[in-house]
Amino acid sequence: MRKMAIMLAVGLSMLSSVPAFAQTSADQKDECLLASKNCMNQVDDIKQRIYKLNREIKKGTRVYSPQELKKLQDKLKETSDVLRTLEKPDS
Amino acid sequence: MSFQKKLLAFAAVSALSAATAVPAMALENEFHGMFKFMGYQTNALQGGDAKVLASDDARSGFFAEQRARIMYIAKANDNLKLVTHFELDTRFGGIKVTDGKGYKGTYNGNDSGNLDADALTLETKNVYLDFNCPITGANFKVGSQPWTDAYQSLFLSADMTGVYATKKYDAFTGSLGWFRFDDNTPAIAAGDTTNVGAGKYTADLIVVDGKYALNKDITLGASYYNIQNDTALTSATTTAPTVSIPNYELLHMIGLNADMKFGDAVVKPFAAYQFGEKNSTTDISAYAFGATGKVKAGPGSVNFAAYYLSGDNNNTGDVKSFQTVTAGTTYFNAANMWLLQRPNQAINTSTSLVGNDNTAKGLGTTGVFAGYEGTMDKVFYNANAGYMMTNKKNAAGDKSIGTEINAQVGYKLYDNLSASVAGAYVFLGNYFDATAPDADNPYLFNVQLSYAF
Repeated sequence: MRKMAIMLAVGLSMLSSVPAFAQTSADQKDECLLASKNCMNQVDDIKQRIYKLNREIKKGTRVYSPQELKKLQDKLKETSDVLRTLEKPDS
Repeated sequence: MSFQKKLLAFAAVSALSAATAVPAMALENEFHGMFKFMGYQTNALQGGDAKVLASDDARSGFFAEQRARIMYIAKANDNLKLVTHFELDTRFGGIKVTDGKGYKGTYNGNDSGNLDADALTLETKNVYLDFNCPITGANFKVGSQPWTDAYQSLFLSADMTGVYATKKYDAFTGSLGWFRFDDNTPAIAAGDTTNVGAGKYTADLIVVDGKYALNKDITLGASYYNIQNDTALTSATTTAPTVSIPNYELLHMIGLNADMKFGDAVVKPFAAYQFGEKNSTTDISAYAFGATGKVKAGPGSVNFAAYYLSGDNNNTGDVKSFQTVTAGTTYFNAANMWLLQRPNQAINTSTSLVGNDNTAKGLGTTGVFAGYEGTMDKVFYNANAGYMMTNKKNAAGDKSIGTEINAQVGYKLYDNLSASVAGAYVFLGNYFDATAPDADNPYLFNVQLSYAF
């Protein structure tokens, strides 16, 4: 029984752990970008975030609902605005 | 298996499961920022926003400067966040204690480029709350925030304190904003009986902006800006502040703009009309128009940009000069110039031949710019040419400001770090003949390291 409990615990632990830089497949949603879920251990710099958002938007309605796509597009605009603010050439 | 063992096994699994569970929504600590190093060999730049020199026997020198910007965003969820943004500017070697040509925030020798560093150089750019209202469905930004006009920043682009609300209705996006960019209330002196408190001598900007997406390629925009400047009205009183920014009392600005995509081309035209009161006896009637664009061609794209700001060279009747808030809060980044217009890659030294004043002290200017930019694997490059002139003759009867040619080549060392070199040269026009008849043509060489995260 003890062996079984340990195996169960190890199995559960493996299932619930998140890889350091989770890559979504062509048919998977990126929950971290979409809804700030499962973002454990993920730190995107701003250009990586823009790249990822563009990549997810390109998946289109095959993966995301129209509302989710709109949300991703809004996030892309928001992130691009942040980059523009950071690089604004005021003295 | 005994009940005790079953309980133990269940407890072990539950504890492990609880320990590894990921919360659905957690506070996100988002950090972004940038660092740029700029080195200049030039006969024209003075540092800071002091204007590009057009002088006889201008001496060439080398100087270097750096800028870091740090942005921290405390994001409770997708509907609520606090945005903070800070800046640290330094010139290598520091700035002379009494040099008025320093950067904002680093005057009086307060520059950590001085020997042994240790100076107060942290500048606050933005601190604002950004939230989606669950009752109205509108987005609100409250606090010190960046705002840019819909006219390529020819009128105003600045960090300001205010409240900005945006609401979307299908293809229409409407915005309403109020910014107080000056509360020039003088300190109340002992024995002062005027009872002047905060909020009495102020300058405010009201923004009404609408954008309608006709389809996925064409967006049309219309806007109304209103500036009410009470600081000028108080200039005549004894206790009032003497500084008046901007230099008019009331301004209305209405305009139309568009963002249009035709195949491989993107065109953004705009036009605006201003009217109002410079003071109790003089009215304002001015306008501006222009366009920017980009067309894919070969491995890169062709850029073009042009604008016209109306001008005036007599002091009678209505003022026909296009009005801004201050020269330092205007830009025309699409020009891709280094000397004719303030460069869109600039950091601490951000200036132009007309000292960022595209109104050229009220004469109005026209600018025409074109260039080509592209990439080859990790290499990026661009080359540009531009011409500027005033729309009304100066006192000597001249109008031509100059023609600039420039080029830049860079290499992406990492995804986020690029290194580049650039050169720019201006053939001065006759506009400077009266004040600097033998002025040398201004030039600069720039070396740059740019990191963003």
